[in-house]
Amino acid sequence: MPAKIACFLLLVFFSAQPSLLTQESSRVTLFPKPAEDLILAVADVQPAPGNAGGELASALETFNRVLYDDLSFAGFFTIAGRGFYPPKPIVRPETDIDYEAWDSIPFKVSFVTVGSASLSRNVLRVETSVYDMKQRKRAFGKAYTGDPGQVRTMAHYWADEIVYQLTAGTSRGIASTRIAYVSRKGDAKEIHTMDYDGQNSRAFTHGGGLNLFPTWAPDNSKLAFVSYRPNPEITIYSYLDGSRLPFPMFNTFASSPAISPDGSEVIFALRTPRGDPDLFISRLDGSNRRNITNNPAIDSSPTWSPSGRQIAYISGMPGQIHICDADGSNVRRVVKEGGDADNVAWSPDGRWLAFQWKPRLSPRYEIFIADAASGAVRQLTSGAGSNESPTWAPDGRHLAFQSNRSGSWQIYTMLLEGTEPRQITHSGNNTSPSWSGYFLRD
Amino acid sequence: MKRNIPFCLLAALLAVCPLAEAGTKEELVRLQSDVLALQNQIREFDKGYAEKLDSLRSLVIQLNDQVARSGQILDRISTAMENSESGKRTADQSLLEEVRRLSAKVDEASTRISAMALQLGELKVQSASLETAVPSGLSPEVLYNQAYGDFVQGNFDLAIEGFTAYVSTYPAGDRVPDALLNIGDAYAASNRLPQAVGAFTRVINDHADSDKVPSALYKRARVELAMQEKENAVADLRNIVEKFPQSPEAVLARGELNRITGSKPAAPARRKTR
Repeated sequence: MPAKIACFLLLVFFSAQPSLLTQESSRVTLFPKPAEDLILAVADVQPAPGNAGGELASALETFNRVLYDDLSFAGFFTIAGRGFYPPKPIVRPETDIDYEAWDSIPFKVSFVTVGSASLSRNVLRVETSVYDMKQRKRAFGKAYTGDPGQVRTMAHYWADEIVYQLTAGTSRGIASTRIAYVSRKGDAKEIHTMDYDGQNSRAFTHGGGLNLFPTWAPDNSKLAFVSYRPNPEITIYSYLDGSRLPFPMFNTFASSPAISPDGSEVIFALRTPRGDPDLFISRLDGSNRRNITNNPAIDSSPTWSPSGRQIAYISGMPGQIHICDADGSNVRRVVKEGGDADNVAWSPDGRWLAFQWKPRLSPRYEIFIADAASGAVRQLTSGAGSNESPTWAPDGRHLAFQSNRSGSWQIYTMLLEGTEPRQITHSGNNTSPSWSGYFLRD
Repeated sequence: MKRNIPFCLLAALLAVCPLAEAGTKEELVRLQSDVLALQNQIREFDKGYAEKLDSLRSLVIQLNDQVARSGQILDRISTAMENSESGKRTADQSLLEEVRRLSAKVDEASTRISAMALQLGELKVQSASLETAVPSGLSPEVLYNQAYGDFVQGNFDLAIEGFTAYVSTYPAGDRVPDALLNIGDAYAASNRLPQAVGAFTRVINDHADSDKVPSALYKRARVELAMQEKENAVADLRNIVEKFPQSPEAVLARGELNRITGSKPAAPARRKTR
């Protein structure tokens, strides 16, 4: 009997502990959170009255498809399936939106985006609006004018505007951002850039050599990367005019550049006379260079915290994630588990470190994130192929990475939760994605 | 009362923080996030509270059943005593048996009542602590991690507030030296150098066994250099080299000393008292 009582009391005691107050959710959640009850309908932009023709129809087909994809991938809204929309095209919203018909579909649409377009003398004009279906009135709108070849950009701009407005300015859309990456052509590896959805790819380098590990300045004014001349050297170019900026050559081994959040400094790995690479910080012209990881371990893959006061990097072989302060002090290991980590990237909101990691006994790399404060680790990818080199979108809600799951190295994007994976390159071999910051626009 | 807490907290946050003047959008979002986190915790507590009440209810029902059964047994005993004159010996035997069983059940019921009292006591404590401590009632991990999030984003004022709340709420917390170091760093980043020195000094003096001491010494030395207190800076740097020669900060300190004094580090110097 006493034993039974003791067991019972213990059970009661433990069940009564205030553990609920101290628990933190272990689930990865997007922040700002998606508005689950916000359902957005994306009605096709229609030719304005008196406008018709194949070229306009083709432009609108592109506009409507790009806009739908952008908003679906934004991760903020539930997008109402087009099959449910009332059949009447919306050309003049004031008269063409049949609110009763919209109210009769099986779910409550919160907002609908509509628009009309005209094409005259090769100038495309798209007038777009979002209507509040509860208030039954226009919420906001924009007009875009340009060459028909810019129709994708117009759709991206409108998608970003919708994200910005419907999240009350909490988030800016990423549809207008670009991704730099390495594309292999024969023996050469060149730096390319493309829209965030893989379209509109352009070569940034043309020298035919080896160019690796591109990274953007946070304001997108510059691209830094490693080029072999013949040793790997840090190379910094203006993204605005394509000019090369002066930076010293070290004639040894320099790699992994990352430009600081304020754009004034660059951190990179540089082989020391000891033989191992340490991390150095210098101004963008190479001056005021100082070693911040002066130790015999191999240090690489640095990434700045959003404040620029901390550095996360990979140290040792196999690689382990460390954080130190930008003055080199206060070094601590973030992820306590073993395995081999590489290519760490600090999220724009400062909370997460994304990295590729091969846990012990695992045959390939997967993308993981670790809480920068606690080191708690969560896996984002799984399945076929190796998944590597994560890079954050500026909204901190999306990641791009490289994977060979399709048989060749290609670039993919996904939401932070690991959902909505999209393959955005399809031919050749494409690696080392680096997501740009936001581009300034009106 | 409990349900009003999030709103009181929100009101308090809005009243305390001069957001209207200086707060950035990110700070607002962070505050919203904090309030959401608190609301979630209270919701979780409500859920736990409801579960505990359910289990108590179930215990009470079981207890009532047992009391009812005991009543029936007593009735049967009473009837047996009244009606069985002839089989008295047998009845006495069965009575004894019944009394033994009854006694066991009363013991069990008594145990359950004690357990319920214990559980109620725990719930009272939880409830009281929730009501009095929710404004700073985040777990140490959440409190520290949120402050760290502000820190790495460069929201230094919020970070100082968060880390200070952590240190004052959990003075024996594992990460107090980290928090103090970060407070110092945040002050230094905001160019409030004397406050930075104060925070680093707390690490050095109050947490002398912490592995953060070399970092605190190095950071204090750099701030002192910025404050033109070269002697103190040199003393700190020499202390690192002397006392923590294997630390990464010792390498940095040697470099600084070479830069400052142009020579190899000598014996530890004594700091000027402030």
